[in-house]
Amino acid sequence: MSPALEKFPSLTIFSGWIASLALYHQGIAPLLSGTLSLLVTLGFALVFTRNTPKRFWKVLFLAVLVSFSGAFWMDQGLSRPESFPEKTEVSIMGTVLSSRTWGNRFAVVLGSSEERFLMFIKPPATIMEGDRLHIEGYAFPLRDNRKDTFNEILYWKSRGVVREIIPGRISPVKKDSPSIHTWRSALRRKIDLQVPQFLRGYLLASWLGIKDPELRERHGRWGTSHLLAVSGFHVGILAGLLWLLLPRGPAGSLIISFFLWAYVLFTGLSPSAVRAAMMLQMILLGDLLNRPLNAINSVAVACMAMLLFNPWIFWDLGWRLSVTAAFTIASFSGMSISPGKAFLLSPLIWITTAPLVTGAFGAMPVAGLLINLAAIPLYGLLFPVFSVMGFFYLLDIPFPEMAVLPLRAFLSIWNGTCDLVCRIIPCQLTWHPLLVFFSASVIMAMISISTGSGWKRTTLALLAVNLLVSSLSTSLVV
Amino acid sequence: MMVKKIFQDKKGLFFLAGGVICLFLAWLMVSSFSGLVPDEEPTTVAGPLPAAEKQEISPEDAGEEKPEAPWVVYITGAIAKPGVYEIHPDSRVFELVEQAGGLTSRADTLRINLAMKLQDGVHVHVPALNESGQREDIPLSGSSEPESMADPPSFSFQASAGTGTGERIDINRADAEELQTLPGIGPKTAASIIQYRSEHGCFSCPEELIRVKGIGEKKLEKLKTCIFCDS
Repeated sequence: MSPALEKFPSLTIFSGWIASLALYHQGIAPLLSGTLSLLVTLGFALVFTRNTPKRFWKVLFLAVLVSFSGAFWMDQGLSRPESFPEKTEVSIMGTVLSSRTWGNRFAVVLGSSEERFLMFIKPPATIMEGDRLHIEGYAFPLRDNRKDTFNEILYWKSRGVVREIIPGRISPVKKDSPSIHTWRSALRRKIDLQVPQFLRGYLLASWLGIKDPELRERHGRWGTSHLLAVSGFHVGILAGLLWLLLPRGPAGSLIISFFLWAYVLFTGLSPSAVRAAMMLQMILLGDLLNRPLNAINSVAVACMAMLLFNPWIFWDLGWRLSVTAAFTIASFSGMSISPGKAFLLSPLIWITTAPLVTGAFGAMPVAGLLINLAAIPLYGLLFPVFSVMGFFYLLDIPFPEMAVLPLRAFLSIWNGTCDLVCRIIPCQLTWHPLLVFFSASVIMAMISISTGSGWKRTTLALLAVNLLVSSLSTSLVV
Repeated sequence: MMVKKIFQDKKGLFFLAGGVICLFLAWLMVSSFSGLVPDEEPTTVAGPLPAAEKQEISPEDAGEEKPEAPWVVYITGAIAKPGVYEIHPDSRVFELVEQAGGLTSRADTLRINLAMKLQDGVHVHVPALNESGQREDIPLSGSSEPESMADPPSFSFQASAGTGTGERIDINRADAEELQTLPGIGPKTAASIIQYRSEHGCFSCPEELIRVKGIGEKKLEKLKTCIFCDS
């Protein structure tokens, strides 16, 4: 059978969906969207086909059918006109699902029993996650406030928000019962009050998915912002630790699954964390059923499920970065490379995610290429240490202050070293269309090598994929 | 028969060619798809920048140096010594609170952002818990209609420019000429406000002005003290 269809059939479908979703903003009709997806899936599967075993045509037909119908269905859902009137007077009761700074305002997402609303509040009025509010005001369809490439409508839609409210009156209501949001708020407050500054930002990031402004600026300068966003990295650390500590078998897998999803839920269900948890869940299930799954296939299945549930997630930068990094890791692991060369993974991820990062932020520090070599394994060890220390502070367990001195000293040296590297390598990588081709070529080449294809087939596949990418480059990044 | 044999022998090559053709067709489809936006000349042409619009440029934006005079700010609510204070520029709310003797035990600390930066001429209101220990309504900052809410605005920019006449303008009734007397509103923005009003009906609150093309956060802040809505 085709190595692509045999090893990762879902990837052939997923690539078709990506192509069709990238054209959504140009107003592609569902039928055309489905046809485009079908062609890409078929092309991708056939390029890697060398012979036709028994089930080949059946699997190919199924892949093409799923590709067409999925793309058709998603495009139809995305293009459905909104039935909301231009302006509606509303009086709603809801819970604050998230509250984050948005320029000089707070962007608050309010979940009512029917839909999610967005509203902007100016300081000093602060609204905490988990607050129950009664709001009287006017609801409007979401606005596109685009001043650069960032599209606010897509950002909020990927978070399930459907309308914006301009509030006339906001009244706090007594909370019915504790919820995940009130627990998050309470924990945030406790961390803010009880944990020392050097640890606080890391705990807020890894436990709640909240980025401390100072830490965000520092890691942004170093090119290591991904360490502060709850993603496969954090989910992987948790799953890895539990995997080591718990006995193998159904009970162990069940406990890991429970903690995995509890963590993802508590950190705010970020798309990248959900993607990672779904992928790990499939691997756990595969292990239980004695059917080890292909890593590339697992990533693709998780991504497809998320797109079917909420196609707007395609425009979420965190999700895109997480998917690109996950495909890089999965295809790298499929190339049977010696463990000694594992250090190559970090620069590879840096290269493959470069078009997305530079497309969104304009530039990324080249020093990050070097810093990430050490930062990824280092923070893999540090985050569990931070968490253990966090428990001590939060539970008021007395311990000598001397115990944290080595960590403080180490972090101080680390910060100084990273700043020094940034001063030595001050250049920034800026956006260029060629980055997309380079990134696509690296991933495609690794996938091709993992299927055992020769260099001729790999070269042709690269050329064909890059031809397609040439028309989609901007839509794939922005 | 012969075709079948050739296919069997060169199966891999045929599939590779088929795959490349499919991807080429997909590329053709993508590159020839121009979308739903018609390729027509624009029907409207941007005119020169109206003179009134130039009023938007404040000395701050023009890069002029600000004098280092102390800021004058007003603090009310659940505070030990409410009143007007002079405070050094670039202060934050907590510094003002300290100067005013600190928060009272009734202060709702969740509702006041002590880390927020102040501005000259602002009014900071510290909300209090009510008798039953519950929170008061959350004051919406900068609203020009305090009478419609339970509390006065907690953060109002009283130092903003006025209309010049000292009277507030009803944005639901004002004509283009009246609207142009507002700070930062030129003929173009006035026309946009009237167009919005005819398309969407009356403004429900002054904040709704932000949905009008040409009105941003800064401009709205300036306007709030000079306008009201009577719907």
